[in-house]
Formats: sequence, C-alpha cells, structure tokens
Amino acid sequence: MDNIFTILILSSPLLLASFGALVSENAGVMAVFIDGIISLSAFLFFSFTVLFQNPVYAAILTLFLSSLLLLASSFYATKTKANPFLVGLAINLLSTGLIALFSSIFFHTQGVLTNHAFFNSYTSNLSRSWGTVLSFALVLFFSLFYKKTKPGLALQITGLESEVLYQQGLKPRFFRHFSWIIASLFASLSGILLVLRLSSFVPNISAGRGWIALAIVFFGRKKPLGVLLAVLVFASAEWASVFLQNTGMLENVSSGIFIALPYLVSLILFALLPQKKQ
Amino acid sequence: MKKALSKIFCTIPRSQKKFPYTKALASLALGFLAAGILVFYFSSYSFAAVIDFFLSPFSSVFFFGSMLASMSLLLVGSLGSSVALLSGNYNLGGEGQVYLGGLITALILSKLDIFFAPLLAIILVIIASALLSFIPIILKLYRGASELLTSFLLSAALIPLIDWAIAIPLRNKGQNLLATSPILARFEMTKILPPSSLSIVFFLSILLVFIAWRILYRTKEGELFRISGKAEEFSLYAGFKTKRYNIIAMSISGALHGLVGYIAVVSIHHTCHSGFYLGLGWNALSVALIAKSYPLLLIPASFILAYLFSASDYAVLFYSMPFNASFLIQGIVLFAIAASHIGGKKNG
Repeated sequence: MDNIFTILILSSPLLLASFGALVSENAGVMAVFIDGIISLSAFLFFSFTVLFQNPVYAAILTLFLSSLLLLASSFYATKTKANPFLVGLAINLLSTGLIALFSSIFFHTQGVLTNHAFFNSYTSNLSRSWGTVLSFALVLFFSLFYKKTKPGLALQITGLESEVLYQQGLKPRFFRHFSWIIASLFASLSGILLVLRLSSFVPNISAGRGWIALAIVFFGRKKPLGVLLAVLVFASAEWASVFLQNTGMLENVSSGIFIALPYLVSLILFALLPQKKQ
Repeated sequence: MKKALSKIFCTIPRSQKKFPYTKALASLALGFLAAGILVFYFSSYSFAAVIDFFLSPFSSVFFFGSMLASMSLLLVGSLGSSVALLSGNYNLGGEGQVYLGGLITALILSKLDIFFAPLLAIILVIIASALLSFIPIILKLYRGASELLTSFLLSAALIPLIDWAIAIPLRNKGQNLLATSPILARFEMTKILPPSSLSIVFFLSILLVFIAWRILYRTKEGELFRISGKAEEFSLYAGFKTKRYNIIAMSISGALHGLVGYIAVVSIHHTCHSGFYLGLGWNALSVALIAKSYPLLLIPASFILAYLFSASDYAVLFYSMPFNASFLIQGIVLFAIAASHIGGKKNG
C-alpha cells in the first residue's frame, strides 16, 4: 500500500504538467513551452516567497505572471501568425535565460537556492500529502469541466473542429488563448509543487517533465483518463528505478542512464504507439 | 557585377513584393538591443561600455579570429538545419548530434596515430550523427511520430549519457577539466590567425555553403527536393520521391551537425569537454530561420549571430556580467524570428 502512495506522490507534478499539455494539444498547439514554464514558475515561486515572506501570495503572483506571459505569447503568435512551435521553444530558452539573469541579480548565484525558513521538511511533507491530494482533486474537477461543460467541450474541439465552433457562434481564437492560460496554470502548479517537495530551487528543476508530458498526451490518446493512466505508468517506472537504485541492484548502472531514462521511455513510446500518419 | 548578383539572388523565394527579411532583421535588432541593455546594466550604466561591447569582436586579432571560428561552426550547423527545413522537417536534435560528433572525433584522434585517422573520424561522425536524425524521420514516415519531438528526445537522452561517459570512463584523469584526452597535436588544425583558433575550416565552410546552394538551387534534383518540401501532397501526386527526399535531407542534417562537433574539436577545443555543444544546435536553427533556409543568406546571418555571441562572451570576461546572456539572447531572437517563420506546413 505504501508503494502505491509513493507512486501517487511521485506522479502529481507530472500529472499537472500533462493535463496542461493535453488542453493545449487539443486546442491545436503542441505545448512545447510547458518545460520552460515549470522551471520559470518554480523560480518565481521561490523568489516571491523569499521576497514577500508569504508562500500563498507568492503562489498567486506566480500563477498570475506565468498566465500573463503565456497569454501575451498566445496573442503574439496569433497576431503575427507566428509558428507556435517556435514560440514555445523561444519561451523555453527565455525561461532559462531569465532564471539565470534574475538568480544572478537577486541571489548572486546560478546554483541551488535554499531558504530553510520557508522551505523545510515540514513544507516538503505537506506538499507530499496535501499537494498530492489537491493535484488529483484539481485534475478530477478539471476533467469534469472538460467533459461535461460547453466551454470544456469547445476547448476539446478547438484544434480539430474549429469550423464547428464558428457555426455555433464561438471564437476558436478565444479558446486557443484560453487553452494556453490553462496550460500555464497547470505547468506553474507543477513547478510550485516541485519547489515545495525539494525544499529548494534547483536549476533545470523540470528535468524534462514538460517533454515527457507531451509524450504522455499522445500515449494517453489525448483523453483525460488515458493521460491519467499514462502518468501512473511513468510514475511507476520512476518508482521502480528509484527502488532498484536504493536496493543496490543497479549500483553499477551509470547515473547518465537514469537521467536519460525519461527521454528514452518517451521516445520508445512514440516509436511503439501507432499515431495518425501525416 | 549587378547582373551576377541578381542571377544569384533571383532565386530567393519572393511571395511578396515587400522585402521579405524585415522581421528577420528586426529579430536580430532585438537581440542586439537586449545584449546592449544587459551590458549597460551590468557595467553600472556606462555608455562607453556598451560601445566597447559592440566594438569588442574587432578589438583584437584574437577576438576577431575567434568570432570567425564560431561563425564557421554556425555556418555548417545552420546548413544542416536549413536542409531539414527545406524538406519540410525540423531537426531539433542538433545539440546531441554535435556532442556525439565531438566525442567520436576526440576518441579517435586521441588514440589512433595513423594518417587516415581524420578521414576515419569524419566517416564515423557522419554515420553516427546521420543515424540520430535518420531514426526520427523513419519514425515520422512509418509511425506518424512527430520528428520535432523524437529528434529532440533522442538528443536529450544522448546528452546525459555522453556527459557521464566524459565524466567517468573516458575522462582524462591527468587534468581537472571534465574532458576526454586531447587529440594528438598532428591532427590539430593549423591556426591561420594566431592566437585565435581560426583555421582553414572557415573557408571550407563557406565553400560548403556555395556547393549546397548550387545543388539546391541550380540542379533539377535540387528543385524537385525543394518543391517536395514545400508542397508535399502535390509532390506525392506528381510522383516525386518525397519519402526518399525526407530521409536523405534529415540524414544530411544530422551529418552536418556531427561535422560541427568534428570541427569544434579539431580546430577549437582539441578535446571533447563536457558541455562544449551548448547553444550550437539552437543557434544553428536560429541562423537557418533568419536566413529562411536560403544557403547564401546563411553567411551574413551566421556572421551577425557569431558577432553578437562573441560580444556577449567579451562582456562576461570584461564587464563582470555574472552570467552568460546567450540563452536570453537566443530566446529573444527566436521569439522574434517565429513571427517571420509563419505556420510551417507540417508542424504549425
């Protein structure tokens, strides 16, 4: 039973990121920016917490700023007819650059950031218990919204059936912007959860979760339930590798393989799963 | 002269009568502006520092030569990105391909003291790095997996493995740097503008670009290839070898990125050190997008970006800029270029 809880705890940041990617993907844009937004939000949350001495305000401000950034990017991509994939890549690079810039200015380092007053074993445990429960509750709530409400259904078909939206008098463009905001909110929550869990900000804190989330969306057939199951499969694989490392069974295996593993698994899934041929 | 120039440039795609590179130039201007603001801030608001920053690549033989050496890497890499883009594909695994190319080069040229070692290294680099972009295009053509994701994922998986290999089993224990053993001195490229690392590779890379332009824009096969990249469905109906073009283009793209790794090791670093690939893949893609994949325009575009990044390195050294602004500048430039690279027929 403990192992199941551990898997659920491990899965929550990825679950949030994957749902963000799902919404954007169904609205017609591959959410390449998720990885950058996870890291940027994690940094912003840490910085604002230290600055305002209040994690709640910091979380709200982080969610607001990351949504604003993605809304502006979405407007920019629409107005200039820019390639949204390249905009997403640019957001990732900008995030890396902005984190390095502000970390150098405010913390005089580009390394690991810690602050024991706000990020300690207590907050870490809280994020593992309540953070996990809230993540799953949020995803459940969102899935109901996505499946059972008109705006949710409109979000789902923005990518493939935008003509239907036109005929219903709705604006696909609005739902595309909306999908980017939702994706940024999910990605930001994932970043916040990671900071709380690690009790610190670590450079490249997303560790490729944004890219894995993209793979999970395809693995889960672009459906909420499929995505949830795919996340649990990934989390189980992560748990298994941690378990094997701890038992010493993999002590001769290189650390490089563990870092590469999420990318390799994503790649293999892409290779094995039949997708719609272009 | 005017006639010759118009003959060369008449092949630039002109879908509009307007100058088609305004947005690309604007994106570069934004990159310069961002770099200037950063230097202004970190030099305690000194305009002299900003002017010094922009003149820095021309301030000494070393900086000038180093800038041109960086340009040659960008030129070859961006040619690789352009070939993929012209075929209607994105190769986002450039960094892993560069890294693998560098590692293979360093391993062979540090151990194998035979005349043909460089040739052997080049062949192996081409095969290995071409394979890295061959796999994504095969997955795309036969499994429907997006080459954008798979090329990136393959590279992202490879990089930590190479990092680990350099840090532990292949590390040269005799030095503090995380690097493999240095290549043998006889395989190092002769410097033509010492003390900078500028070598004959600079001219070879320009020649390579001209050869590519000649093949792509002055041969029937090149024209068919470009049409197939622009209008896939039309090409399929017309009976063009679209699949073959895709596979060849992506493989060449990977091979050229691998060659960047080879060049970086034999002419600049003389070893494969951890992280030497950083930025090379993304910058090459930026150059290709700025030039709209037109080979001859890669030359000025790579010069301008090499100039910008050389000036940034100078700022880190001389103005106590506490971080490397490369990612920030890359992000700003790519953000702006995205607007000039509309849609993308397969990936938009």
